Amino acid sequence: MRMKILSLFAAVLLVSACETAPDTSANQTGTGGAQTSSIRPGSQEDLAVNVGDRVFFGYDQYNLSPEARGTLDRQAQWLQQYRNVTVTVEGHADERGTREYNLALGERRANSVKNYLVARGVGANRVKTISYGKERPAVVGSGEAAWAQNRRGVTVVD
Amino acid sequence: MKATKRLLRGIAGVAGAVLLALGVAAPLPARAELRIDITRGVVEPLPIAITSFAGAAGREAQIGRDMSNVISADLERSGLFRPLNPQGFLQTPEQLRSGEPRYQDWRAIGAQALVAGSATMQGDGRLKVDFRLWDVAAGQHMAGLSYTATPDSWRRIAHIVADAVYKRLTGEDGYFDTRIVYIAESGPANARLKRLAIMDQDGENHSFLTDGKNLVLTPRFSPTAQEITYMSFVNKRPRVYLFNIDSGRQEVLGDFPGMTFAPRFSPDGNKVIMSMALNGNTDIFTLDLRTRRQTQLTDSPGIDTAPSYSPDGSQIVFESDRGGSQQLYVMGADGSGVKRLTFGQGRYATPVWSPRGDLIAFTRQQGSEFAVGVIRPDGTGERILTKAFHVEGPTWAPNGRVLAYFKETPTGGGRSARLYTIDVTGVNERRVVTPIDASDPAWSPLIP
Amino acid sequence: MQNLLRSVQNMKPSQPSQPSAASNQRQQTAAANPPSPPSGAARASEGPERAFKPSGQAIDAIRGQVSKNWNFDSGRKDANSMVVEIRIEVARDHQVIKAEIDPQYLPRYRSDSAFRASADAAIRAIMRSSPLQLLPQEFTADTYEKWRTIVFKFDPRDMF
Repeated sequence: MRMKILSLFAAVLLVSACETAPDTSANQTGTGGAQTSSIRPGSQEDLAVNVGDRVFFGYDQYNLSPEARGTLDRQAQWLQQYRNVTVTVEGHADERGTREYNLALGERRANSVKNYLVARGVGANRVKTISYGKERPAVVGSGEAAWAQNRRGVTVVD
Repeated sequence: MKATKRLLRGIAGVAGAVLLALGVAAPLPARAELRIDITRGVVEPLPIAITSFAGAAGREAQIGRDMSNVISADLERSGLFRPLNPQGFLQTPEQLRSGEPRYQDWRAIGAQALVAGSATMQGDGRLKVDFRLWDVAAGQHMAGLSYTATPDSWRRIAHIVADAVYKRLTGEDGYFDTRIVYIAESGPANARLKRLAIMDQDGENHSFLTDGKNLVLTPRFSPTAQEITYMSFVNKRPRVYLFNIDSGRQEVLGDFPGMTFAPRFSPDGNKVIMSMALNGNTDIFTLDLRTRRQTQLTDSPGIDTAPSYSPDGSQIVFESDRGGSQQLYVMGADGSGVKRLTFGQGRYATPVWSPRGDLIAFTRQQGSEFAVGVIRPDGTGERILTKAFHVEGPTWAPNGRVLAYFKETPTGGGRSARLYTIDVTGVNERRVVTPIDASDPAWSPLIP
Repeated sequence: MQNLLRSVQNMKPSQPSQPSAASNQRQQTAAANPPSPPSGAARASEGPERAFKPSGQAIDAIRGQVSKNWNFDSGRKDANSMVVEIRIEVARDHQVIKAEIDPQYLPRYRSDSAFRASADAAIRAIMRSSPLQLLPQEFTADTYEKWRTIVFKFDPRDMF
């Protein structure tokens, strides 16, 4: 089921990654659409479009799925390539939880991502974490399709 | 916020509440007497007549009328009183001021209690407010009080009068002279602007305390109502803050290596209890506000959060997923003797201990539904008060009788967030109207 | 109505600082009234005279009337402990001419504001039930002395 949902919106993500601005630092988004030619290597856009800047979690879960590990493997490689880049992993939850619990859950998710990247050779001092709980959904809406996209860990170039 | 401080420069003359007539008769001769048990009554609002406090003319008249309206609205909203339409009153406020009520006139319109009063401007420019309360059914004077204050504090005095009426007729402290701090929300869901905001419990005297530049969450009052502890994402560093209402000063609480959140004051106001998340684990800590000493109370690999003290400060209720799902637990104030409180279906969260000690309110999430409920501190007597797509975050009125919480409803492309209150018996749900969307309400103690 | 008004006007506020009369009466009450059995809508206490026993129908009429007028707040703290006895005197025409809290409850009445409010509500229930609905065929003039005093025990146990 999760596989299915993921593939459903995978395409959407590529387009929306730049538009879901609150997850990315405002100064990284630039003006451009998703035109590969204009993407600066080592930028947030580069990460989002060419690598994948986010991974998704099951309901109330913080373990990494095989797809998530695949994305993070690519992120780790990318971070090896751009050694002066530091990142902050944002942990997010869907709205189907209480505020304080979701802050803790988001922190768990961000930490899962960080631990995986560090295990793949990224220096721990290059990866910070922050949890937004349910405060910054990527997709507005009340339904499983939206919630699945909001349960996420997003790697943001500092 | 200037309004909350020392508005009442003097509270004068307490015409003591008079005991109900117990005309002690000569002992009846020992004879057979009939005894009848009444084991059931009705739960209905008490019909009460509230006459105008209006003075002679001009400002006095306006203030007096406004005060009567505020008193009437307070009592009505509690669900325990039903103010009667003044158009049916047979005795004028002037007649009541100069003499005793004609009880039969008030019984005739169904009143069981009667409030009369006056607002007069004194020579020194201050406002003098008197009020009297009668039990119409029993034909007795019950209470009377007099206040002197600055004229611009008339609204607060009206709340204080309503509290006095409430207390004499219910036997429990009122909660009308209180404020609510909450999070005012605006903008799209994925870039929501959140600001600290404060208002009287009836929604009046509204003001914003922060500008929305930083995400702020979960404000809670100190026991003196002068300070608020809350969470803010200043500089993308989510931490617990302290906000002084009078000075506007804000400061980070403690020097913690990880995110701190879910703060609440201890009942004595000396500590703030909160959660800290570090390396994926969340535990409960206290910060002593004088010594700034940090103490760790829980050390489980799960999420331990939403701590709330019992009113005597001896116990703490919190939520934890250490048993596999979010449930409520109680422990001693030093972290000892942890006991699980809830075993029901669903996830239990946001526990908050009633100021009167007898109940713990919580949010329950079960299937696709959220609920606000209460449970006794020994784990018995669980009751759900209200259910919806999303209700969360109950907070107690200081008398432990009424709860406020927020409710979110999906709308076209987003959602609405609104504040509501409900009686602890699960009746009388009322919206608290706010200028914009609202969440995370926290009720103040009675204003000192 | 005139009766009621007169009696109401005659009532004098009692002085909490002078409890001697009340405590005297409490002792007598304690002696006169053995501990109540836990249930039973009506019963006569032991006394020198033969017990007056109204029918179930007669009792139900009174209970129904008073219950309907008893506004009890079940949401207050410890609501189930708000048990109080109100001793009343009825006139021959069934008007309530006096209603007073049984003296054994006075100490709590003076010290516990919630209990006081609750006891006041019980008195209001009685006053609002005047004249009492006493079945004329049972509450006759001949037996007046036997029903002149009625003790109502307000116990909200069926409300929880």
